[in-house]
Amino acid sequence: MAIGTILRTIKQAVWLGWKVETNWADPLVFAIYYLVRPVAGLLIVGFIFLVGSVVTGTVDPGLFTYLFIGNSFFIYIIQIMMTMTMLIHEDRSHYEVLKHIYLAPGSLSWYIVGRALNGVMNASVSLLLTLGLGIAIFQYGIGIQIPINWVGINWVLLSLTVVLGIICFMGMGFILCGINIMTSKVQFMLTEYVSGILYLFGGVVFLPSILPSWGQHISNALPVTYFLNMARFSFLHQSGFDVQMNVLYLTLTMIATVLLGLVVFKIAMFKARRDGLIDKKEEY
Amino acid sequence: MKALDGVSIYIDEGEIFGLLGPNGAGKTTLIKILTTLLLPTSGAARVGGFDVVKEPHKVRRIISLVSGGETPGYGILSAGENLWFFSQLYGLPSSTAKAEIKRLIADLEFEDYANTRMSKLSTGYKQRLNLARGLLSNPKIFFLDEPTLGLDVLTGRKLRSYIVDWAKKERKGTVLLTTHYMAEADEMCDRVAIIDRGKILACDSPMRLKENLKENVIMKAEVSSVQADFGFVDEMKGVVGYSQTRSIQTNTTSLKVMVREERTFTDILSKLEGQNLKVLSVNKAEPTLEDVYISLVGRGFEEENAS
Amino acid sequence: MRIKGGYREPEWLLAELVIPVITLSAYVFLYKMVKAPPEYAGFVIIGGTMMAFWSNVLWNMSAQFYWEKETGTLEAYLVAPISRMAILLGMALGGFVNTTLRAVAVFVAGILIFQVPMTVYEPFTALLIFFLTIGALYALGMMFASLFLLYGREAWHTANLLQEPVQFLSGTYYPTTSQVVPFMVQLLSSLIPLTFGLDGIRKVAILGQGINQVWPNVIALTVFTLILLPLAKKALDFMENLGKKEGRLTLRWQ
Repeated sequence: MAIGTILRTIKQAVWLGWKVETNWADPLVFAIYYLVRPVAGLLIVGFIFLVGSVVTGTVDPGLFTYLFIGNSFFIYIIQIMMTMTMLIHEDRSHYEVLKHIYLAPGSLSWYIVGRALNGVMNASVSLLLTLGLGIAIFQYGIGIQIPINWVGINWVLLSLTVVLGIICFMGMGFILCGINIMTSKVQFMLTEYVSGILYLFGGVVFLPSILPSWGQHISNALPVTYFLNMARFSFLHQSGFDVQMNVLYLTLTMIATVLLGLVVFKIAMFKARRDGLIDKKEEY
Repeated sequence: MKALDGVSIYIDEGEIFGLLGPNGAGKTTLIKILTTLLLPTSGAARVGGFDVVKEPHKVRRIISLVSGGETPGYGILSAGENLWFFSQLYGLPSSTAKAEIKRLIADLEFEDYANTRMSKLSTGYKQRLNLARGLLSNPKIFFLDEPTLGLDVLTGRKLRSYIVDWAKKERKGTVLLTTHYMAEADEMCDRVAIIDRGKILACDSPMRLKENLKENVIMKAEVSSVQADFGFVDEMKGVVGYSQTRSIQTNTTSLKVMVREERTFTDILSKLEGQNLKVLSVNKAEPTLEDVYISLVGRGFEEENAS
Repeated sequence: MRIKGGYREPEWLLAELVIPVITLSAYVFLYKMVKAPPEYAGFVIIGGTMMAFWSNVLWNMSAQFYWEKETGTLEAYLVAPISRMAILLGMALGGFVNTTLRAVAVFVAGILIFQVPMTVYEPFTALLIFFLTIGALYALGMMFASLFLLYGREAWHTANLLQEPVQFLSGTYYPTTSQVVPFMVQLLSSLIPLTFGLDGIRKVAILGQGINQVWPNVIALTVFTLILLPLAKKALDFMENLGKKEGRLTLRWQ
């Protein structure tokens, strides 16, 4: 397929995602959706941390920052996977366009990538707002020290981390897309299930060392763990952190995830075509 | 359950080919296979010279599909924006896409609604939009699956005429049309295949299909009850097939029967009078494609759908 | 219909047990990381259990008319000679059975997995607080249902919005009475019935307190119910009439 066709498909998918997502409600409601929910999520874990810490009498700013960055960057995972899952459901049943996109010369896969990229854009906006508001509330409002040197962020490493992470999460998203295409039911729960597991084992809001040993093994196998480790290092430059090893592990787990995602999606499309599911209306 | 059973058809380039049959006959299944949306369980199919199973990407480059009864598109986008989106997916350069969209909107007469959100369009205009979307890529082979389903008479007529003009004059493209409207198949198609329960029963031009019925007599009678029971017609000798249409508004039932001899129809009328049914009108009818169907299956579309 | 629907989709039951336990586990481990006392794990479990009912209220009651609109069955409900509140209550009660099963499963799993210490001296008080909370929540759910009836997908987004903010403000996973929680947050949380319900159940089920300590919660929940129920009826009637005038009631996927 020509590069031009791919780029055009991706561009249109991004444009479409932006139009569909921004037009459903007032801009105010849209802004709140990408601000209020993530910030509320941060406030929940932030206050769990603070309430629990105050009882013991010690508030560790280092641990709080660990949670702060982890929870904020997890937005990418949620947004990408949710976007990719929901688009199958919406485009097939509600808008009835999936089969026409499937039949168009630009491939369905690149269209999904484009829609996921729109999810990335929304997540990036959400991330910036969450970080900003989080600092305002916790550091300036409540008085918790968040030891981030904003001027000293390692942008190169952070950019690499985000790019590798996005590719990886899109790979996961393709697995979910594939499962959704193969079934004629709306698989809302599947996305929550997967993101819940990643949230629990990915070192998002607590150190993986708190988990039982079997949980730590799972944590070590997840790309999310390395993604968040590297994001934190980009901000905090902790001593003793092995950057190269984490980049390597993130890259390897990313490749594995992407390959798995593509295989699952290809199998799913074959089964969907075999069983006539590409234009099948879903059951609620 | 077999959706298609031993279907074998050949469609010439530039032909408008109709697939006519009741609901559940297998028309949509066939279209889905030919447009690469569904894999056949056995057999082979080629579209534009390409194998639908092994070369689906090549098939997709030269086809387009428009289905009736559905309105693909994003309600939040305007008609023009929806067309723009699909034009880009089809790989049209921007300037070409803009010109094509403008032309199609004008040809299909919905300029006043080009900037209206799709969710606010009536069914008729949504189907015009759907048709415009299908024609954007200027396909070599155009698949139309019940394209006028649910449309009012005027809109349906307009769309049919546009499709015929497109196929015969403008693009000289090939059209495969599925429908259960006899008049549509009769009006539009160079050849029609009649399909029932997955099997092709007959395939020829509408004129020749009807000509084959010349040896039979087709009579129509209207009786003054919407609850009239014509089950006795099944038992009568000399009856090739029949169909009935009930009208609650006028409290009448129309019986159309194909018989080998006129006197069989006289016997039918006597039986109707014997049931104390008032016969409001009787006339001879010219054969239609439905009559062709009745001669092959023994019943009309309505009865077939009901069973 | 709700009960039958629940058993027709058994994978939902698995999903409604596993996902909540996973989420709760993350919060329990977070408390462990900061070395909070074990009863805080109990707060999380109770909070997660009650969230099952809040989700039931939000999605099976408030969003009920939205789903009926999407699947095209709303018209049938609207022309039926029964009150809207009765429909919602029926749906919610049907969902209540499934939700209770889910909540009990989550509660038991959470208590067993994390070995949370439970001290219940007055079980009837615990049940009283629980049912008063449910009553107030369902009344709130009926009010939201009126929004869904009219605003469709915007209301759907609003329901999504009400998950985390309500969890935060009502102190689902932490006591809002803690000194760390700012006064404004405590003030806002007192406007949500769930706050009083959670606080009361925690006190009775985890901290071994009784009616002498939780009677303010009982009164607050009762007042909420008495105010919200008639408001819900008024709101439903108003929104339905407005929707009919503007022709939005049966417009799908707006």
